[in-house]
Formats: sequence, structure tokens, C-alpha cells
Amino acid sequence: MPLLAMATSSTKVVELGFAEPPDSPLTADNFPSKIGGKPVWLNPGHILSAEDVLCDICKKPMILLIQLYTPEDYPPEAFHRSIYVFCCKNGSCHKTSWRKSLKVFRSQLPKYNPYWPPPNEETNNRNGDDTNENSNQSLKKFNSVNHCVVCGLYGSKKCGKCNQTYYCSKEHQIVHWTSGQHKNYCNTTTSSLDDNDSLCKQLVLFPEFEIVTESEGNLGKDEDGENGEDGGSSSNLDDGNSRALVPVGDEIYENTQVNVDKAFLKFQKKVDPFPDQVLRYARLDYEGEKNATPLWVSDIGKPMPEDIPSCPHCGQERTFEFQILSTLLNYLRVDHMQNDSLDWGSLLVYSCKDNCHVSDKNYVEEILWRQDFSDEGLNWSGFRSI
Amino acid sequence: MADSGTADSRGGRGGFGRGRGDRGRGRGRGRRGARKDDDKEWIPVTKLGRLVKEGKIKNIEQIYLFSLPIKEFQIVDRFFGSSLKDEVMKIMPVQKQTRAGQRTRFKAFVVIGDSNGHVGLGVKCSKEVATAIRGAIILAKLSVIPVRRGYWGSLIGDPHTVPSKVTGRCGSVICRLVPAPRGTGIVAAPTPKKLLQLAGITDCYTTSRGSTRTLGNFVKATFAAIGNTYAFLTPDRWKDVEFKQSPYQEFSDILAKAPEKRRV
Repeated sequence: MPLLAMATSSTKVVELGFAEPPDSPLTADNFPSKIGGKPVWLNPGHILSAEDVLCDICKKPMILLIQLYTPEDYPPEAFHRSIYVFCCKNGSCHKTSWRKSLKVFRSQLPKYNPYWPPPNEETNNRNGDDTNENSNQSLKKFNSVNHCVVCGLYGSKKCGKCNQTYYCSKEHQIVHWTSGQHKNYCNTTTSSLDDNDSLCKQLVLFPEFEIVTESEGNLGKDEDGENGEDGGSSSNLDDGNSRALVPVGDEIYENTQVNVDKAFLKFQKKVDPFPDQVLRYARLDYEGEKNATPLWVSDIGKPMPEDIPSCPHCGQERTFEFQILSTLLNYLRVDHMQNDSLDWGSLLVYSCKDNCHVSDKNYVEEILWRQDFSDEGLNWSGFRSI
Repeated sequence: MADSGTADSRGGRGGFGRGRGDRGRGRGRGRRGARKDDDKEWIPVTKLGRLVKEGKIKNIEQIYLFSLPIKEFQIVDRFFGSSLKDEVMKIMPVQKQTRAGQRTRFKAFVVIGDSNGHVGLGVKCSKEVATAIRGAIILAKLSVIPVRRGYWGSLIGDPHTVPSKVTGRCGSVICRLVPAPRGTGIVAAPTPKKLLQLAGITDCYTTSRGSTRTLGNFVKATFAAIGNTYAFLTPDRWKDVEFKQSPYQEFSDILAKAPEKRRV
């Protein structure tokens, strides 16, 4: 069963994500896909609170690692769809148990919703139609929700002094008071609030980037590359002979097995054309019979079927949607010298295949699996002491 | 280039995935900036790679000391640069019988070394010779190993020979390296001679036994013998050795407690 999937995984086209500094502010009406920073809520009327995204190990609220805008056609309630991945910044929590310090949420909205106007009206605008009615609806009224000024989650608590700044948790209130200079700016006019916040934001959140997408495309599907050199192979052989010390002969009883980490070498080869990719998105068509398989980074650490349970709401199986590569760690300004710094091989996100819509839940939790690199280098089994 | 084409093909409805219906207002855009296809900068994937790229690890001996697996060959490149010389030992065609005749692939043996205490050996099979050689060079870089050199007699000058008699075997081939006085040179068959030269061993007697015509086994046996130089416990290493912190720990903000003492 997995053998079949492996055969197709290398030829399926995926969309790659690259991290770039944002060239314009990433606001909610642009439906951004981004890394770090504060989460930009698809559903502004209902946002996650600190209790929803607590790290189970250190019991502190987690921060946004990545968010993707992934619209779907079916069901109609998933016309707008976003996936949020939250992660604890404390690396030792991940070392203890990564399952408890990484969480994925899916949020979706139908085409006609109380927050964003449907896109058809937008295209009509360009034709010069009367836009008054649409602009009235563009910022539909809804109960504005308080955001934690530090991390962007739901601000259920507020500063006792000024009653104007909201926080999601006590930890963030403390951080904002000290590093965020709120001690100095509490109860004053908040004109320069953003500048003072930057140190606090740097401490708490990951640096913010935008994710831009590109298809992986066709890159010479031959397993050993370069078609152009085919014609010279016979002459290459002669050159090879003259270079080699020992001429070609019939060799039997050769033991030339080398224990290399094949899966990692394959992974490197696949990533090599675009070395700065950070994301691989695989759910690209509806009618594929076989579920997409991720690009494994090692032979061990793959999830078993019982590790990926079916969706508890609709019973449909959860399939692989996208994976986050370890190259993202280069952008997150993690201090690698720490023994317990944040590290992973690859983060795989599995989500409900049907994007089931749960009426009373705005955020559905999905499954994330972490695969690490194997601990083996090149094993030479011939090393034996005398 | 096809960058902007990707976003447009989805009709401007940005984001990822398969939604192709009515257009939203997502921000899908292709990559901006020049696409530098040649001379790509190395983006490390593993944690060790990231540490090496930042320059936090000064030399490769720190990695050897803690037996950390080296998975990216660029790490080795960064430490050695151009001092690593490679040598193709043999290109061997191997054939597999298929219904439509025979399928021939080429197996390349590449030895790499800096002639100053580090060697590596790579074996790669591929449909084309150039690809096999390229792949073998990468594997050779991944397998670079330190070589311990010692003296034959008086301890004057730099170490020039193997520290003791070491042996390695692979298949039926046994290769034995014996210390030699200064000025002897390498007394060996051409195959192990090349390997020992790249390791930086100046003088050595060798003895081999078995089917040394099988070059793959012969070269692996010599490589195993060279690797055993650091595995051999000589009396000068009997003393207790204080272990330093692993590169992952060394720069940690958390102050370490008393360093552990372990028997070597």
C-alpha cells in the first residue's frame, strides 16, 4: 500500500511557498498567507482565545507560526478558508513532546458572509458600475472584537489602569508592561504605540514574512537528470577509463553497498532546484484518486494510520495537505546555539478531506505531524577494531 | 518567466490550493526579485547546517568529537573549501537483465581527501557516468573521516605514518597498514596508495590479502583500516578525558554544571 503512493509522490506537482518580506501591509481583506507576526483573522467576528491555543507543556499561549489562505470550491461553506498553525516559541516544550506544542486550526467562511463582500461584485466594480452600494457593504458592521495588543488573539483581559489595552493572558500583559513600554505609555495618547511595541513583538512573536507561491513545475523528470549528456555517454566511458586507475573488468563478489540515508538524499535532490522553499502544498486537485504523499525527510518517523485519525465531525479521513520544511527555521531568528532550540525535519499538516463545516465551531482543529531527520550519518560497516 | 503566470492562471484568487471557482481577492503573487539560477546560495536544512553557516562551529573536529551525523555536503565544503582533492578510482559498468535486453548503469568510486588528515570515499551508481561521478563526490564528502597519524620511532617533527598496525576488511579483502620509518614512502598497490596519499600519510608499509582485484572491496578495506586509526586505543589515551560541551550546548545561555568526567 505505501509502495504505490511512493511511486507517484515524486512526479506529482506541488506548489511551493517562499518567504519574502511583505511589500504592503498584510491586512485581512487581502486574505494573506504569511509567516509569523500576528494572525490575520479570516473570521473577524470570532477569533481564537488564549485558552484555545495553550501549549500543553508550559501552559503559555502559543504564537502564530504560519497561516495560509486556501480557498476551496466544495463545500460552498469553504469558499474562504484559512489554516493557522500555532507553535510554542519555547524549544524545550517541543523537545518534551511536540504533539502538545503545535496546533493547527482550520477556519472557513461561505461566499456570502457578514464580513467580506463576495468577489463578483468586485469584478463588476472594475467595469465602472455604481459602487456605492458595495462600498457600504464592504465593511459590514459586526461587533468588533478586542485583540490582544501583543499577539493578536482574543483579548479577554485588559489593563487595569487605562482600560484601553487588551491582553489575552497575564504573560502578555507582563511583557507589554516591561518590554512594550506600556509602563510609560499607559493612560497617555497612543499615537506612537506601534514603535514602542516593536521590541515586545520581537520578543514574543516570530518575524513577519509573506508567503509567495510558485508551482514546482517540470524539471527534467529523469531520475538521474540531464538529457543533454546522453549522446556522449559512450565517449564518457572511455574517458572514465583513462582517468580511472584500474581498467574496467568483470567484477563479481563486489561488496559496494553503502549505508546512506537514501530518503534524505532524495529529499535534498527534490528541494535543490528551489533551495529557499519553505512550504510544499500538495492538495491541488479534486479528482485525484490517490491522496498526496508528503516528501519524507527520512525513513523513520513516518506517521502510522492510527496517528492520523479521521475527522471527528464528519467521519471523513484526513489527508495530507501541506508540509512546512525546516528551511523556515532560517527565517524565524531562532537561536540555534541553545541546546533546546526549536528544530524539526518537516511538519506535515493533515486536514479533513471534505472541509466539513461544523455549525457551532468556527475553528476546527486538524492534525500536525512532525518528522525529524534521522540521526545517522554515513555508516561504514567495515569498521571493526582489530 | 512564468512567475506571474501562476497567479493569473488561478484567476487572481490568491492563496494555495485547488479553489478555482469565483474569484476571491487573495494576494497570490509570484516571486519577485531576480532568479539567480547559477551560483545558488546554500540554504541549510539541518540544524548542524544552520550552525555551520552562521559560523558558530570553527572546524570539523568539533563535529567529529561528538559523532554528529553530517547530512549536507555543503558543511564539508565550507570547512575545507578547495583543499579537498578528489580522484575517480574506477568506473564500473554493471548490468541488469531485462526483457528488452540489458540495462547498463555505471558505478563510480571516488576518493576525496585534503592530504592532511581527512579522507572520504563515495560510491554511486547511475545511468550516466557524469551523474555517477557527481553523486559519488557528494557521498565522498559526506563520509569524510579523520585520520590519526603517528611516528615510527622518535617523536621529532610532524607525524608521518600510521600510529600502529591497523587493519580493515571488506568482503574477502584484508588490508593491513604498518608503520614505516620516515622517508620510506607508501609501499602499496596503486589503489590504496592513492587513498593513503590523500589521507596525508607519508610513509606506510601495507599488506593485503584476498581478492584485491575487486576494487570496491579493496578500497573499502583500506578505508576501514584508515578509519580504525582513531578507533585504536593507545597508551597515551589511557588518561581520563574531560568532555567539552557539544556544539549544541556550548553556547547555551544556561550555565553548565560541573563537566562530566568519563572514562575513555
